[in-house]
Amino acid sequence: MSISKIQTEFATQDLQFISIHASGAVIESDNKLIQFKKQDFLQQFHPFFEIISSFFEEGKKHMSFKCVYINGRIFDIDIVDNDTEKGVVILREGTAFYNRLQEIAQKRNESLVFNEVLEFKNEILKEKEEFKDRFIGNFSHELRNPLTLITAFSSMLLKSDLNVEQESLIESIVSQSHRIKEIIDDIVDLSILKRKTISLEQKQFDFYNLLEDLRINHQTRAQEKGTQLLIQCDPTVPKIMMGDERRISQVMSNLLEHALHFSEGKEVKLEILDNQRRANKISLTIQVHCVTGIIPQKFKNDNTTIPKDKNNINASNLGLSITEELLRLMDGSLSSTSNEEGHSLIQAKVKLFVPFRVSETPVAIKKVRNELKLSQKINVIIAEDYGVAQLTAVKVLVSSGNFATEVYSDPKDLLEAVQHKEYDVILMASSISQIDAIELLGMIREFGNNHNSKIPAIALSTKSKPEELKEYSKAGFKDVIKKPYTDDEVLSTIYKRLNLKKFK
Amino acid sequence: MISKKIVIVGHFGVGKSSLIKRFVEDVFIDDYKVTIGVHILKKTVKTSDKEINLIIWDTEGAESVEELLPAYLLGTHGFIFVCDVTRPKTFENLQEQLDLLSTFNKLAPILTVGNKSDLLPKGTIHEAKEAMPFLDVLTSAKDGKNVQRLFEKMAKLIIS
Repeated sequence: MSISKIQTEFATQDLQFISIHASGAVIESDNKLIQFKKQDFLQQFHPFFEIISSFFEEGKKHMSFKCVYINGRIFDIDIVDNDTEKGVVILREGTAFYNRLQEIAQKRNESLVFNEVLEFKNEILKEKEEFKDRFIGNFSHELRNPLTLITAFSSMLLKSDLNVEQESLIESIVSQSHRIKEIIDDIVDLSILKRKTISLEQKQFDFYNLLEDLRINHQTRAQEKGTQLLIQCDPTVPKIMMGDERRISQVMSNLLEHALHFSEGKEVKLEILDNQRRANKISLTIQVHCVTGIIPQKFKNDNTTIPKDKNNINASNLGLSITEELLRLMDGSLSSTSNEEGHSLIQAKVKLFVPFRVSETPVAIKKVRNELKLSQKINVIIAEDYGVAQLTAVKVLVSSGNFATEVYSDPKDLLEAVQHKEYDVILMASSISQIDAIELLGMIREFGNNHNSKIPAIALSTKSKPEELKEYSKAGFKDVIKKPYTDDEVLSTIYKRLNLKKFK
Repeated sequence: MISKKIVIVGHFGVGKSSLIKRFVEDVFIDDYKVTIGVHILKKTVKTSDKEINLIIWDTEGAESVEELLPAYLLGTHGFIFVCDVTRPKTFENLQEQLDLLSTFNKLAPILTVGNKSDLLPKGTIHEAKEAMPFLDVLTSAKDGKNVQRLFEKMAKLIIS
């Protein structure tokens, strides 16, 4: 075979030439790739060839179409104007090549699409989280003001002359409003913990004192339920340890609350076991035995037969969720087991440090007696624009007989007052008429007279996140009283900040 | 019967091929298969008084219509620009893309489509439509929602 013949054969191996009329009718075809007969219409073979009419109508001379799928095969197709009303269609088979290309494109695009979708889902999650935080913030704010009134007034009522039945009713109100406050705090805590935005303290604390406080705090509740409360601690557990005392107390308190909630008059036992000690690290198991505890499904480790009673899924489960998050932060864990009789055991494992050298125990601050009677009145500014909160603060202060109060809900009036009169203390809500307390205090310090620029400012805040409380302190507030507060908390805080000799 | 060519364009992975498959064969395949080059399918639709052969060109996904081969656009009667409602990148610079399409054929109508509406949270379709006013139709190739309507709408626009 001559070279030119071989060249021709190989050069045209994957090619087919079809001579056509402008109507798409086949005049002649070499049929190397696809079989056509004379007078066949290419449009009837595949809709791609509908393009032929546009090609001739628009007077095109030559057009190339890359990578066209025709009945399961892939072609590069050229259409060439050969003569008036006549043309040539050239098919070049590229199925193998394009299939390989498709595989590469598949991998690349899948990964790009996956990343884009992931990015979008993350955005949605972020938005949801932000909405949730805003919602929890508003919800907490809206509830704390009315709750402050209930807590403070019922506490004041308890100090008045009441008969036994009245006293018992008010005690129930105090106890339940305290419970609502705890639930609000728990919800806020949980939202913070889920975002891991809290940091744990590492300070020395007296573990045995903590257990005693825990016993005192839960004894009343246990008595109310007719439950015997037992707290046992391995004697090898050290008295002084290092860690976040408040959070450890919260873990134990939540476990006890859960057990007490379901105790139905049976015994509740909290045990602290010394697992092991290495160098200055100690691993403790804090476990609570509970007779009829309903354990939320997420905390269960066994195949218990205890039915999940929806009516009993309540605030105490919120406490367990917080406990779980806290333990996670402390490199610990929460687990539980239960048997068919309904006896359950919830275990928290936690790691703490034992200090090499015990620092001096801080002296307890003496509580100021709130029954104090002063001969001279303390002049207080109450900066608050929420009616119920104004009423609560005024009632609490006035009923002690030691205060002269002025309430301001307009920042302009407040600034005018601090310019012209002299006061002893300022109580300020989180914001007044849209102006943030921190900003407002700055203005008081700047525009108030010399006397007022030095008086203590105390925030009455619905905010409870640690970072928010730090902001108050940085701005110059001496104290933050978290709403809901009791009358005793407000009075103690104010007395603590003043030189009371001046008013006696 | 008259034939009209519609070119479907848009980013990769927005569901162009799935929309056409749903319209022509009434099927949906969950696996994503990348289109390279061009697939051409045909379906007859009836408008009020006419039957039209829609020749639908399913093009390779591209971030910009500039990447399309000009030959694919020869004799186009209408464009459908498909976006994925769950991927904002697929409708960024939309107006710019539509303007570019118009330069190929000023007379060809363009419909913008937000596909994968089934992935939007339940009850938010109306909100999504309001949040994306630049889209003409929200479709789901997966459950077939608005797919038929989309092509019929395009057919009407072409013959009107």
